[in-house]
This record gives sequence, C-alpha cells and structure tokens, in this order.
Amino acid sequence: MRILLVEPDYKNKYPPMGLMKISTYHKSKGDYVVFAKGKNKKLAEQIWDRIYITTLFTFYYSITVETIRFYKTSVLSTNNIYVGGILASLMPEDIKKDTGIDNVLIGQLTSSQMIGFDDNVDVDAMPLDYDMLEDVDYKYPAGDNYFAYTTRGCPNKCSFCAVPKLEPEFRTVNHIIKQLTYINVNFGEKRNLLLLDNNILKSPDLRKIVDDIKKMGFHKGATYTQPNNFFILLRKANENAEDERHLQRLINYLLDYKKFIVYPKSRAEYLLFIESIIESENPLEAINTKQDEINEWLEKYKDKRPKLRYVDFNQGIDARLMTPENMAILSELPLNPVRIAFDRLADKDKYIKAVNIAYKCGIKELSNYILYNEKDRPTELWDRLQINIELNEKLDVHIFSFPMKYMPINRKDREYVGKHWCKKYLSAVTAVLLVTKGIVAGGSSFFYKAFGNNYEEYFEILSMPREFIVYRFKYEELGLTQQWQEAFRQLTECEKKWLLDYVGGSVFVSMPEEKLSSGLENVLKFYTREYELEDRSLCADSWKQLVKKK
Amino acid sequence: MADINFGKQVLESLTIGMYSDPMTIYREYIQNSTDGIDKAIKSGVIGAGEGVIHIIVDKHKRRIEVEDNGSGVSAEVAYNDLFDIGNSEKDYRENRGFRGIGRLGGLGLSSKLSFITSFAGESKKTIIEWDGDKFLDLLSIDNKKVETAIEVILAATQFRQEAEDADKHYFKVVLDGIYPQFNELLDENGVEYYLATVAPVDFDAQKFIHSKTINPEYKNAGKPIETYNVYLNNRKKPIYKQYRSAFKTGHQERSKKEDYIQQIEFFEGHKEDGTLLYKGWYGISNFYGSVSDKFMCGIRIRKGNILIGGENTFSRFFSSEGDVANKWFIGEVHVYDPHLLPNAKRDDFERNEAYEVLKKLLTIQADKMNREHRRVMSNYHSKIKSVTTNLKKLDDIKAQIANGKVSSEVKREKLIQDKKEIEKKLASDQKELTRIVERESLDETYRNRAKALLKQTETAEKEVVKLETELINMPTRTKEELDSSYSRAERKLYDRIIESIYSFFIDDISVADKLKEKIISDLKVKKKS
Repeated sequence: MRILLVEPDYKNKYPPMGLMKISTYHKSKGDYVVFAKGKNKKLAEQIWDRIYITTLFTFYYSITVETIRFYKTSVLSTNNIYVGGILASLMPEDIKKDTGIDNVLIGQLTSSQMIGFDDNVDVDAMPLDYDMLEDVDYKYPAGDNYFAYTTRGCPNKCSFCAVPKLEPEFRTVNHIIKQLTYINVNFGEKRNLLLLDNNILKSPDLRKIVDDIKKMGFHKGATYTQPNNFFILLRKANENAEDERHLQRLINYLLDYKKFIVYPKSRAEYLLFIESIIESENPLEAINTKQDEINEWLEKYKDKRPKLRYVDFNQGIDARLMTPENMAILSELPLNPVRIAFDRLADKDKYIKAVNIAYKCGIKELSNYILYNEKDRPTELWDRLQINIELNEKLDVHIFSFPMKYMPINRKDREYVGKHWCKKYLSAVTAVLLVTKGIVAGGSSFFYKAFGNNYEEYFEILSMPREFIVYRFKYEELGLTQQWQEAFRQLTECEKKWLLDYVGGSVFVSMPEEKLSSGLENVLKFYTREYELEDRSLCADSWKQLVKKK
Repeated sequence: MADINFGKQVLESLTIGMYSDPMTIYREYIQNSTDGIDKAIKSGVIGAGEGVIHIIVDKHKRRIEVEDNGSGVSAEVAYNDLFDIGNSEKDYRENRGFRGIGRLGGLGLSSKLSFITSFAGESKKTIIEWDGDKFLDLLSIDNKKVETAIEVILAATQFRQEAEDADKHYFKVVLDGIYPQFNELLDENGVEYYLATVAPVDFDAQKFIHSKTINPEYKNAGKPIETYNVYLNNRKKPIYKQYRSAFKTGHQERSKKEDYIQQIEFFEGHKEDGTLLYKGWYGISNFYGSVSDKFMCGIRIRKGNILIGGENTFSRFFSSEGDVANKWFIGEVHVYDPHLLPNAKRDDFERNEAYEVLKKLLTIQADKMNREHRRVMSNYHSKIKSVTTNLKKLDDIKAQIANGKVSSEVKREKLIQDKKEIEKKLASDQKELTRIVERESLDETYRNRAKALLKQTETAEKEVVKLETELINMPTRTKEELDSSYSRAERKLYDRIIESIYSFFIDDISVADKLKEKIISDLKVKKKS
C-alpha cells in the first residue's frame, strides 16, 4: 500500500508521535510510507491508498481543515483518509462537517481494527519511526529524543485541561524497555528521555517505571556519547534497496559526518574518500565493499565526549501529590528540569512545600507552569511569579516560570479573554515576556523591573502602550514613560477602564459621540503614537542587557 | 502710429481660424442674443421671461437665422459697434459674449453673413452684409490687391440703414449659402443636440422631475440658473436640456442597464474671502456603471448657464481614471467668479489664480464623489454579480453530478478544479462584500440585498464540502482499471488515450476492447515508487 502521513504546517516542538507509530505499523507490513509537513503539491498530485492526517491544538483549526481538504483529492475515495489527534478527538463532528471526512479517530489508536485492518495491533503501543522525520525539511526543535508514556490519562479532572477528554481512563502503559530497545536497534541511541505522562505520581507502578528507565541508561550522572549509526543505516539501506530514501539517508549521514573532523586536511581527505564511493555507479555496493574502511574513519572522528543525560517529565509533576518518599524515588533519575505546575494561587502552600521537597532531594533546576487567563485574577499571576522569585533567593535554586495563557479547548482561535482579564492586559503580559521568550527567570531585579514592585506598579505596566513595555529603557530615557504616567494617573477609574477597552481593541468600544475628556485625550496620544520618536534600537539593547546580566 | 498696419492675415485668425468646430457659431450668436435680451429686460423694454431667441435652419435654402427680441443696437453706434473687432463695449463681467469677435465666426462658413438690428424706439434698422466669397478671396495670399485688414473689411462689406417700426427691437444674424463642407450646420437634429447641450436653456420639468429641486436651490442661494427661450424652426416647444430621471448605463447594448436618479446632491466651493466660486449638483443613482446617454453623462461646467468645454472638461479633476470616472456621474457645476474666464475658444478656462482655486476645490470634490459613489458602488455591483455567477456555477456542477454526466477522470478533475476556484472566489468576494455591507454610507436596500446574498453564500460554502466529497468519490472506469501508483495526471492521460482509441476504432469496437485490455494488463505492473 501507498501511505501518506500528514501534519499541518504549524510550528511545533515535538514530532507527531501518533503518525510515527502509524508509520512503524505500516512499514512493518511492508508498505510504502511518506511523511509530509503541510501542503505538498507534488505529493498531492499522486494517488494514495491511505492518507493519515494528524491534528494538534484547537486554535489551529483553520489551517488543519485547509490541509485536510487539500489532500482530499489525492485518494480514490475519501474513506481512505483518516484524521486523528488532539483537535480531532476534541471536535470530531466539526471536522467531519467542515472537511467531509467521515473517518475521524477519537483518542488513542489502540487497535488497527479502528483503521480497517484485521490484525488488531495496538498501534499506540508501537515504537516511533524517527526515519520518517527525514522526509520533511522541517526540523522539530525537540525531535531527536526518546519520547515515551508510562501512563495514560489523569485522575484529576481540571476544568482547563483536555486530558480527561482525550484519555478518559487512567492506566499504566509501560512499554519503555521495549520501545527504547527498538529505537536503539533501529535508529541509534538518543540522548535524553522525554516522558509525556500527565500525572506520573498517580502511577502505582512508580517504582518499576523508575527502575525500567534506569535500566535503559538513565541513572543519576549517566552520560551519553553520540553513537556511530553507520551500520544501522547500512542495514536498512540493504534491506530496503527498492526504497531509495534509505540509501540517501545513509549518504547524507556520511557526508554530514565531516562536521566532526576539525583538521581541514583530514576533512578534505575524508570527503574525497566518501565522494569517490557515492559517485560510483552503484554506491550501495561500493559502501558495502568498503564498509570497514568507512567505519574506521567514523570511529576515529566520532564525538567521544560524554554528555550528561536527562529525563524530563515534560507535562509537569503534581505538587499536591509530592511527598519526600515519591520524590526520593523520582530523583534517582537525572531529572532536569523538574517541572512543577502552579495552576492556582490557592495551591500556594502545597507548591512551596513541593519545591522544598524537591530541593531536599538535591534538585536545583526547576521549571514551573503558571496558568493564567482562566478563572484567576491578574494579581494572581504576579503573586505566583513573586513567590518563585522569593523561593529562588531563599533556597538557592533556579526556578524558571512559564506563564501559560489559558485558552478553552472548545475554541478555534486564541482570542479568549478570562473573566478577570482584559485584552490589553493579556497583550501586555505577552509584551513583557517577549524579551525573554516566554520565560520568567530567577533574578529579582529583572522581575521587579518587568512586572513592577507591587500590584499598583504591575497594573500600571500592563496599561502602558506596547512599545513602552517592550522598549522600557528607551521610553524612560526619552522621558515619555514619565509623561504617560503623569497623564494616566490623572484619569478616573471609569476613564481608565474605557481607555483599556479602547486600546485593547474591544469590538464593542468605539470613540464616544461627545468629545473625549481632556485627560483621555492627553493619554490617548501615547497609544496612537503622536509623540516624537527617535532611534528605537538603542534602548532595546539596554533592556536586553539587563536580561543578560541576570 | 500711422505707420502701423494690421496685415489681413489677422482677420483670418480672428474669424475662420477662431473655432475648430463650426457648430460653435450657434453658441456665439446665442450669447450675443442673451446679452441683448438682458439689456432689454434691464431697460424695461421686455419683461423677465419674455426674451426669445429664434433659430431657423433651412436646409434647402442653405440658410441659418438667429433672431432675438433683445434691445438691438442703436443706429447711431451700429457702425462702429458692429465693425470694430475685439473692442466690444460689453462688460466682460456681465455679459456672455465679451470679446466682440464672436460675431465674425460666421465668416468663412457661408457666401453671405448679415446682421440686421433695430433698437427699441428707433424707426430705423441697420443692415450690415459681409460678402463671404469676396472676403475669402481677398484674404487669399495670391490676392495682392488689398493688404491690410481695414482694406479687406471695407471691400467685403456693405452698410445701410432702412426704415423700421419704432416698436420693433431685435438683432438678427443671417447666414446665406452655407458652404457644402459645413453641412452639419444645417442638420436640424444635430443643431438641436448642440443647443440642448450648450445653450442657456431650462430643464424639461416634465421629463426631469429633479429640476423642481435644482432650480429652487439655486434661486435660494441667490444664484438662479439663467435660462432663455430658444426655439428651433417652427417647433412649438422651446429647446430644453435633455436631462431625464431615468437613463441607461453600460457600453454594450447587451449589458446596458436601466438606472434612475433618486435624489440630487448639491455642493459648493468658496474663495477664501467667502464669495461663492461655484455651486454644483449631481444625481444619486444606483451607480451601475458609466452613463451611456451622451446628453446626460458627466459633470458639466457652465458659466452663465452656457457650457464651457465639453462633456469631458470636468474629467481632469478626478485624480485618476478621469474620463471613465466622470462618465459615471450626471450633474452640473455653475461657476460664478468673474475672474473665471472662458478662453477665446470657450473650450476651457483661462489659466489664472481664480482657476487654480477652482481646480483645487473641484479636485477634492471629484475625489469625494469618486470614493463615495463610484468606487464603492462599482465594487458592490461587481461583487454581487460575481457571487451570483459563482453560486450559479456551483449549481451547475451539482446538476452535472446529479445527471450522472461525470464519468471520465478528465471531467472529474476539471470539476474539482472548477469547484476549487469557485470556492476561492466566493470566499474572497464574501470578505469584500461583508466589508462593503459594514459601510455606513451604503443604502439600506443594497445592504439588505447583499446580506441576503451573503447568507446564501454561507449555505453554499457548507454544501461545497459535500459536493467536493461527492465529486471525489464518484466512481469512474479509470479508478477501477488503474493501480493507485499512477498519479492524477497519469490517470487523466490514460483516460484520454482510451477515449482516442474508442473514437478511432468506432467501426470495430472489438479491436478497441482488445487494445484496451492489453494496455490495462501492461499497466498492471506497478510503477516504481
């Protein structure tokens, strides 16, 4: 069969694991499988026996529908198209209606019968096919790692979370040894392990899971040296001589290896040698003949420096479930960072306790998800960030905070505004975070400058014109921030509210019929840029310097 | 001073050479007449509204007469008044014909040009006859007998005075023996069109209802539109401007569309000191397209209610698409400033300070009109049309599927492609139309119509997905005969080849069947991926 796997062309960090498993499944049946990222005209010109299209966030709805419809004509019947993944599982009826595709898979692909095959294979338990990622030019920032689950689902039913819908049942699905072994044999060892468990501490098998992971080479202090994958690639090229992509991968690997050879003369010699092989009439045969010689080169210049290996429970650990006991078990792993969710300010005490437990278990690198724009108030974001700053100083740990803007899982865009938030404040938070790529790092000087020393300053910063926030120092040096401040502080509460609605671009707010108050008029000109502006670059730099100094 | 002579060529450029269009002599004589009538009214010889200009065009006698019941020219001054050139005693600020040269425009067009006039209260009439043939002969370079302008005038003219009723007052111009190359002067319909367009006449209140809005508006502004009764031959009805409430738009007969003026919009321009520079009106219609009726199209500029230039003179004020834009509108601009002077040929204004002000203001006005009416409506109508067409095209595809007409791969792919383009067009039109609907200036009727259509589009867009699925899943011969490793393009090619084979072996289908079987079996071997 001819199989096409498609992921819409949004920018994402992790490769499409569902498709990678389906790829393994079909390749194991001897099928011809191609992976596409986005709309590929050349591939769409062909006819496929099957097309699988994955989906991700609901706010990628339009690009997803567009992609599905793009490939719709590349099959003999639309019944040969299957759509699955997160968005598809959350809004299957919308997808059916808007794409005309009836095969929408909900949840995990636990049996191949779901896709019309009698062999009843649990595709979800299959290992990932990393090879397919090389079919596309897109490079997944976190693509070259082990990815695994040891549990599915989550016993918590948090209002903001899609997991209860996607994986309603909490269960242990530990295939780690099998999966990692398969990867080692077929793709070579990877350095880090990303575990995508939703709530690892709920697992009754925690002990066994940790032992399995350790067994696979992830004990504390474990190191990794980049393996030489030549023989794996050669084997695959020999086994799949009819599919030229394998030979091409092998050749690319050999050519790319030059980066390990620092000495120019040796590098030139190596390239000369490799080129003489791949330019011969039958490169595969030539490589087979000279495999020992090639391998000698590769072994000689291999990057032999050992690097520390890490395990990352990427979805975060539930602070409320953390105990010295279970943390002691977990910290047998080379965890970096330990991600702890701080979804609600109400969990403050448990959260602080959890950080202390982690600290006592020798964990210094912490990362922290801070959900905002749900039911919370804007002050609760500031409070939680500030708690982290205090913990940083008190415990001598590094806590990186990731403020995460809440978006309801039934929305198809990113326009949601939480009950206690307004559009202007949301875009202001984004503007503040712009300088640091979304992270709030540990330094208190940075934090208080960025978010203000107290609520009052915090709200004032959130109210500032966007440029004033992003290029903080520049506008302060120009004296414009002070001018704005003076004007802003003279407004009544009512006027401030109108201003924020207006500059936030709310749909229902327009200029009032009667004349604006002189106070509003004074302030508004800072948002409409009716002031003198000089060179922008200079002060953006000093802002960045502060970040760097930190 | 006595040494200075005016060569006779001067006369040529002031008479025959003056106007490129012979029809303009009608304008010149009517202008003279209106000045005479104004004078008569002013001095109480006739009452307001009693002034009449009668034009007779006699094709058989090859004769033209233009006669008015104005004050006439007094016998005492008639000689100088009518012979002097470019020394008209008329005040250029008050009178239409101010240069004293217009009246010689008839020279060079006919064998004889006569002016006959009698002043009110004088029992005398003055007759001046120009011998056109002689005049031309004397002007010729080969003729060496006379060299100066004065000599030519004296040789070619006769002056006499005869008895006349003291009550009578008139000025009459007669052109006898119109030369054949100027036959258009004798075409009654042509003359009527020219007069209706150029002459200072009234609207036809019965046919142009909006005159009841326009005339009072100008009157109330203290600038009534001055009109004169101009009669042609023995017609009972005077000449009217040919404005109508209903008109046609579009260029080709097939695509012409009926439109009508719903209301009149006025506009004004003032100088810095506040004096009125111009006042204009234009009709608000559906703005379906450019007005096809040449009597009406374009904003026209008038001074003293006489047309300046032509139907395109206003075009220059549109910053882009001048002529095209102007033809979308119907209206007039009456200019008042005494410093706005028509040039000698009357096809444009003298370039001076007053003109620069006018130009600046009218450019703003034109852009406003263009933006508010033409662009929006042009866009509106084209989007409505495009959406309607595309919805119909979708229905066509639906019908073709229902009729089972989609059997070949070529046809199927074609329809898929068509559908894709229709959908794309619908989506972009929908977006644009939504934007137009949100415009405040849009008339409610249009808004509702567009909204209804948008709703239809929305429904259609949902159906498109279904339609697309149906098209894709349509069973075709090729689907069964070819392995899936063949691309969509290869399938289409295969389809066409099979079709050719069957049309070639139409007399012996069994050969075609066998050939096809052979091809299918050969192609069974899967293509290498």
